[in-house]
Amino acid sequence: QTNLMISASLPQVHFWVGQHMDPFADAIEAETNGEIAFTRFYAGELTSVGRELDALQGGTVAVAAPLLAPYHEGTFPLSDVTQLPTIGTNSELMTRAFLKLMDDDTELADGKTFYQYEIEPKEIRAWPVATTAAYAISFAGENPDSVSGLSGKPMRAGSALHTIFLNELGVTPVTMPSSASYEALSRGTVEGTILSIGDWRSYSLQDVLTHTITGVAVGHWGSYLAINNATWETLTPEQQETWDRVARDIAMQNAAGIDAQDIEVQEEAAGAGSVFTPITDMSQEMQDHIAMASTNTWQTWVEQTEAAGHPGRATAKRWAELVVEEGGELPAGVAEFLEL
Amino acid sequence: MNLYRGLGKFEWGMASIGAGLCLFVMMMITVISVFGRYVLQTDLVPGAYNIIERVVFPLLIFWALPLAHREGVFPKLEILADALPFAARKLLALFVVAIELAIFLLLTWYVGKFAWAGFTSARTMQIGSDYYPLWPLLMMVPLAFGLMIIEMIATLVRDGRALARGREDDAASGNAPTG
Amino acid sequence: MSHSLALWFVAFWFAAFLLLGQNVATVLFGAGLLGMYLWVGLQLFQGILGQDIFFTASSYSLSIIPLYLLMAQLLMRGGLIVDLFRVGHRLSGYRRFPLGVATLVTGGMLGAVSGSGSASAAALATLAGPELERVGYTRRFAIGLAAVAGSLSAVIPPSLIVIIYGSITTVPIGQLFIGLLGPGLLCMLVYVVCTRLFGEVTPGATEGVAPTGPDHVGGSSFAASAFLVFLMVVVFGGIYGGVITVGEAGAIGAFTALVGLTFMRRIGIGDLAHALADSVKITAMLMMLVIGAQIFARFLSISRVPRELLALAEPLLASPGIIAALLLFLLFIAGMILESAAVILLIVPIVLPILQAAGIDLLWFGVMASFMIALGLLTPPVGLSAYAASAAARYPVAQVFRPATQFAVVAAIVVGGAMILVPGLVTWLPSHIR
Ligand code: NA
Ligand code: NA
Repeated sequence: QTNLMISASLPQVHFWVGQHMDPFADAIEAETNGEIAFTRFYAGELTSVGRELDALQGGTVAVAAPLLAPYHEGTFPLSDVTQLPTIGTNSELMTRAFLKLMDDDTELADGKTFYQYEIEPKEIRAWPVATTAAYAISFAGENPDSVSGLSGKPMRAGSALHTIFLNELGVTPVTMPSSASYEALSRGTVEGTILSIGDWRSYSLQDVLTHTITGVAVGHWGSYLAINNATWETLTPEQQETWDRVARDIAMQNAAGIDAQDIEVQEEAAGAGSVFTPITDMSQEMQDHIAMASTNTWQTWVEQTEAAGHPGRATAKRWAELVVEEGGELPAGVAEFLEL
Repeated sequence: MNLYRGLGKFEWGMASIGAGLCLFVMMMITVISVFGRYVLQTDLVPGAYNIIERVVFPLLIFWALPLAHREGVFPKLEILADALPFAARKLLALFVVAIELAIFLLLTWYVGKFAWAGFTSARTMQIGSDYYPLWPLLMMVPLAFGLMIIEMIATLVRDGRALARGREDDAASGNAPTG
Repeated sequence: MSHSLALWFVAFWFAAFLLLGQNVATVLFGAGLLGMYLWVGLQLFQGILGQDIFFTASSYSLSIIPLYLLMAQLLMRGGLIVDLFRVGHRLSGYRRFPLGVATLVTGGMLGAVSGSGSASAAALATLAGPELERVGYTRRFAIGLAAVAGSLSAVIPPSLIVIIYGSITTVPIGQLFIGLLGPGLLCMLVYVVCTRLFGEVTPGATEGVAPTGPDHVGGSSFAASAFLVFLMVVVFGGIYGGVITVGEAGAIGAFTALVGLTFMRRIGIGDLAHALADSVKITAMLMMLVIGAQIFARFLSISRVPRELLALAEPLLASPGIIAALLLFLLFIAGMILESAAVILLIVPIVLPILQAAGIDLLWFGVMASFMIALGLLTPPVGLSAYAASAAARYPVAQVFRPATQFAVVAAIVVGGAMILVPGLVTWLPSHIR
């Protein structure tokens, strides 16, 4: 019997833990008849946000669920691709696309696929957890309906890619983690944020965010379920096969749950007076402006990633193809820019 | 003990000038940010949050740490030590510092490895939408702990001599040149 | 080694080195390292030590601490406390009880712009101690009252204990500050009543006589006091008015103090340098405690002690009031023995699962916990306000602990009880001000 330390840096109430780590561990324990068992740690007891890779590589834990790639400050340069703006996408669609990207055999650079470039050098095995739902643009106060109303507004950015998008939008990006955004929003340090609506609950943001633009996704955050190679090699081939299958199944189940939660929280917030405006109901000026910011974000991300020596263009191109294949839309001009 | 005095000056410089400036900079970054946000409606210090969290505050701490340690600012219970006669007190101090030294040698080994790994893997930090190398900051941890270790060794030598002579060793008082 | 034996070993190490007088931070490191080694082995260190030590120090919410320290240091060096007390002294008409009240009010106002209780206690002991004696209080009571007034810096927001609690629980620090205001003011009131009840008077003493020598209350004293009030408005108005965050208020408060005091020609570049140096040293000391506690907390998580405690507390979960009261008592006792930051860092991670399982409001609990721990500044064996006051006045600390402990116990019972029985005392303001 193998006992593995599995660790989440987020609390159990978070959908990547309660709806992913726990069901995953339960399913593995059940399917292997207890041959693999987990000792579970939650809420940063053993690993902290953005340091899961250290804990895996150092042997502190065997499994990180999730390994929060976006918080690893530059360590997973290509994984940010899921955060690029899209239209009409949800978690199930993006999770399917992300699973495909991880399995994809297109060579992005130096003869390496996405998985070989992004995951293998870290001496871990990884599967996607479900991506988040669409990141929406929300405000503590009225939705600005003109470019001049938007200009200069301080808005919270949670990642480098958000910062690019907000810069393109002409607002003032203020970088801080979601956990700091309640205080900042309620004091006007920032007047808006980009976050998936289903995630509001984790930070009580439904009390402060009163207006939201829906229908345009400022990307979907992705993260991984990861096990270190040393542990992986102790598993039998049958166990490895079970693990791989369960990881994929749970990711898709997780995605369905995330989409449901997104709708649930939105309905709850709307019931409490929060206003949700589809992008198509905004002024033409705003629609054009947001579309332009979205397209420019793709461009800037590709340029920055290439400048840092990573295959940004090839990754963005492959990702765009997979998103479209799964039924998502790209902002106007992205297909031309990527020469799809 | 000239070397020791010189080290004290270095620690004083790191804390009073280096860390003190960090605090001043931290205050000014925030003041300028708030001013920009409310008065000019613009972000005058892009990535201010990241700069304070990842750069200025850690530098402040690890630069101030050796001097704070040398000057004995760290809280401890001194009830038992105060009640003991001289020789017993010195023996106790030797034992306690020796254990402290062992703990910090272990910690320094691991923070040193961590900093080195940060250097070889070119670990980065995010400021605004850009990434910068993290290792210069990581290196400050083994530097600070290393200086504390030297201080502990000096304390051991001082206490050992005092124990041998049966009285305090005034000449090698550990206070920094500025007091 | 069996796990229960390992736990005993760690507990023994912890108690032994604490008693032997090792730095508290080092005790935390040592016990945490030993525990992890005995529980799992050396392989844990590689993935935990380096990153925990660096990234714990890389925390925005804790970076607020040196800013509040700097503001207080500048005010001390600018001599504002002297003027504040002089004005109170004059207003009291040099009568005994009113001067006692003026000392407490001075401490409270100072507390509104300062976050820790030892510096103001020392200053008040030097300044107010002799005057309180002159109007008839015994030496012991005069210095004790100075310690009590100084300790208000940790009780009236802003408070460093609260910043640390907020940073480890992610309860918004601004909300905690607002919540602490009610209990802080009630505590001042309790101290006023205590001064009336417990005041020790030297037999045959007279009061109401102005001190001989030049009358020192000039326009500058009133200007300085007015400036302090202005600073309170900037810091509190900013936070309570929902304009700036707690961190920004610290920076703007320190900056305002710097500009104002320079303009009033009360500080020079040397004072600024010293204020900066002292603030960073205290910050480094506090952060070393935070980092040590982080390493120790890792061991606690691995050992699952908090979860076993939760199982033990199971029968009590239905009555959160009792749990809260028991924990407050525990915190008060721990605050007697340990430095206040160490108490919050050690106990909160252990009891957090119990608090969450019992559905206890973390804002309410955090305010109560910070308050009870702050009272430890006045109680033996480790009471930093009492130590600071006695050292400044060169008077035996054991004597000072007598009146100081009396005040602390009454405040613990009255204010602690009030917060438990009437949670609104803590939660009403934060729910009405964002
Ligand atoms: Na205070
Ligand atoms: Na105490």
